[in-house]
Amino acid sequence: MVATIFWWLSFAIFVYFVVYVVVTFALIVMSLWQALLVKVERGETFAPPRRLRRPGISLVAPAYNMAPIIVGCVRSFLSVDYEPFEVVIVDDGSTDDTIGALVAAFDLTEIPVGDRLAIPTATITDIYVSRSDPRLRVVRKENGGRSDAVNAGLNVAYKELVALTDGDTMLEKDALKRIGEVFAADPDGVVAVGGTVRIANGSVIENYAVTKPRVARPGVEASQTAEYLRGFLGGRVAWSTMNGLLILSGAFGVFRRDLLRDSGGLSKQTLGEDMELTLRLHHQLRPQRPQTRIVYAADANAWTEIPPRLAPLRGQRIRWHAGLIDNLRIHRRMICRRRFGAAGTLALPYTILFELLGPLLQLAGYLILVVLVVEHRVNWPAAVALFVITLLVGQLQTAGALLIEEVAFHRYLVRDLMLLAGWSLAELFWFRPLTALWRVWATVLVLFDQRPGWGSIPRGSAFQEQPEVEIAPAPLPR
Amino acid sequence: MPLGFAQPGFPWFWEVADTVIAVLILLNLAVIVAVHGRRIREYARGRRERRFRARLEEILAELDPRTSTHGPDWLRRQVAGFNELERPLAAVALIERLRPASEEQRQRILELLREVGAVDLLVRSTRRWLPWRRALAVRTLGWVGAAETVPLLIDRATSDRNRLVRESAVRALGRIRDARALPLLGDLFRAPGPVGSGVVYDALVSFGPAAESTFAGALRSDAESVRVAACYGLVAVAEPDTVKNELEPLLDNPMPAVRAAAAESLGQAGGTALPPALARATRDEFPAVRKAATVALGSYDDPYAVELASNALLDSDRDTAIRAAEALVRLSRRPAAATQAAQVLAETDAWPVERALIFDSLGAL
Repeated sequence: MVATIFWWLSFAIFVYFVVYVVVTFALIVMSLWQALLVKVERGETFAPPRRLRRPGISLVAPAYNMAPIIVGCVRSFLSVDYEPFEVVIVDDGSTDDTIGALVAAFDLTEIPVGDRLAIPTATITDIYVSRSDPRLRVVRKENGGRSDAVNAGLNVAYKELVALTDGDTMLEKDALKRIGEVFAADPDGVVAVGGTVRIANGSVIENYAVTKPRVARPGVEASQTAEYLRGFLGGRVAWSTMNGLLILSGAFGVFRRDLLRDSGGLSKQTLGEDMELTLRLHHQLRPQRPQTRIVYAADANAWTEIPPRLAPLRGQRIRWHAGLIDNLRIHRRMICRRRFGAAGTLALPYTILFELLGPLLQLAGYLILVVLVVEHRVNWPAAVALFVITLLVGQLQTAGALLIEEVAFHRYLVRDLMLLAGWSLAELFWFRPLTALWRVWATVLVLFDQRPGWGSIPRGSAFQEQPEVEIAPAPLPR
Repeated sequence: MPLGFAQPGFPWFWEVADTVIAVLILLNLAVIVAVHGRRIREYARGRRERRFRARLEEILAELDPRTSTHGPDWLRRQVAGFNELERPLAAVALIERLRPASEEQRQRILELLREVGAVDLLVRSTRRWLPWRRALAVRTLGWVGAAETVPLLIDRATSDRNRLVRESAVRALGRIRDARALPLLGDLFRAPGPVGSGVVYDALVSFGPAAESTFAGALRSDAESVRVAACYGLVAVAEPDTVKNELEPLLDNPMPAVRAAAAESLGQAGGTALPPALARATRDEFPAVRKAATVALGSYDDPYAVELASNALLDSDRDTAIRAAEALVRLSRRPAAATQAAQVLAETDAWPVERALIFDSLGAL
């Protein structure tokens, strides 16, 4: 009886695994094909003499206790090559001198806060505009967490589009231009566009711009870099082609302001507010406007910093996974519904099968293996065969993402490619089990109605000359 | 991992596992070879490419009579000798050369390119297998501006299986501005889908007044998005009087997005007498329409606009109130409305006015 159960369990997991391999391969092939096109379209912009439909962009960036780095980041935002453009920095009740640093650097003068704010937020105490560059506005408010800060920014933003980013993210000079072109090419269909979030750790940074992209040597950072490349280049390109993107990264996404404001801004009900927003746009708009498109612009780059150590990485991954579960619960009515297109029929089932259940199965596999080893019932050749398959699939994902990177963007040195491939091979022994364990822990927390706090991300290589600062602790709803 | 429990007696597993492992190894090898192969190829080509780029400078110098030293026959031989690596490089370099060129220089370069067979080469490249090669050829033809390639570009814009190639073809037609492309662009504009509506819009706007009838006709489309785009298109290419005649009736359109676009476009046209329909639009039930109409008030040198903008300071929509104050500041610079607008600005203590005056003092309005 037990043997039969194990046999069927094994068979089910094998089928699951084969489906995963096929889907992964299909996504990589689709992404590669699209990347070949991006290669030629990069730099191709065509603006007639009177182009009245070019949308303006308000860049909204929340900041909490970022006094040492905020001035440089704002300068990098203001150097972005796009018009019409404005920057709205939201100081979310910082306890350090974030506002003082901004006042001194940009010669801020106060403007009235006013009333009739569309989205309820914690109290906005002051709004400033820069005398030296009136495109910059700074909103000072009581602490309310990231979503609340972004919503405050949305309330005072002025342009048709809002780019949501973080106070410690660096945008490439042409990032908004490339995204603006996506909106301009299809103003009726496109409602949101996300860019690529790249890892700044290990890179050479001058004047808060990445001048020489490099991969950090330590495994924690290199494995995350490979993971980001797989996620963005190996996955999102393909999902975007099918109009099935479920998430635009909170570190760099551009949205139509009217839609964002009318639907209440970022949610404070989940830790995965960026995914919730993307799902909400699909959920609200696609049944009425099937032409709605949420697009990924692979050639629009933002650079951010990742946790350089395991402790903050653990907190981040638990938050992400708790957010994923929340969002799947909030938008469960989209699952397998044809009126939501590929988002409902393909992307959500994929997410449930491989993102939600994957870690559970992975951990179950490790536990069963341990039990079998202890009981001397393991069939080693079969176990080794499965192990090799897992290793090869993981490697194929990384190699596919690296190929896309090579074909379309060509940013890293050979040394970096080798490093990424090497750490990718080693991932199976430590990085993947660890992240699976954390994600299962997040599932347990959610099942017991617990939520992790926001925690902190220490400043590492990208901001090495700066002291560590805390990210705003979000008050979590129960 | 539970498959570790599988016994050698299960032949299906071993057969499948062997095959899966073999396929995965091959795929991994193929991808790794592709990644590093590109690097190796690039390294091997590097010197060749650098040599070619140096030669390309010499070739491109032939396009300018002031720097030409060899003559068309030499140039023809060079163009005919371009290989697979060199053609895309030459196309990109040609675009960069054409980008800053005057119309007269472009004509001269075009004649020379025709003479040496480069245009024929580009035409052949529009049928290549790789979409990016087709798109690049189409794009280069647009920059070159060869009118004889318009039928080909129309064909690519309608029948190419790849959307980006179709869009490149539409952009190229916008650059060439040949009247034969207008019917196709009109069709694509009225029925968006095969090509992004914004791409077609841009191409049509580049035709200037010749596209006026296309935009005017599209104002009566059933599709909301087409009407909206037509409003912006019309104001970009038509005279202000035409814009007013065509767009004023649209302020009574049942679609709010169309009313908002019409109001915004009437603001772009501007004038002295405020259209009555625009005045009504400042009291529309939809905030987006009120906002667009309020912005437009600043473009009409009419005291009545001051009164309406003053009322809009109390609008329930924050954006509209802010725009009303900005409109008042703009009106204070116009001859007929200046006195009244200045008086309102001086007397009111509404925060949007205070805000607008600060921005105005910073030169941001």
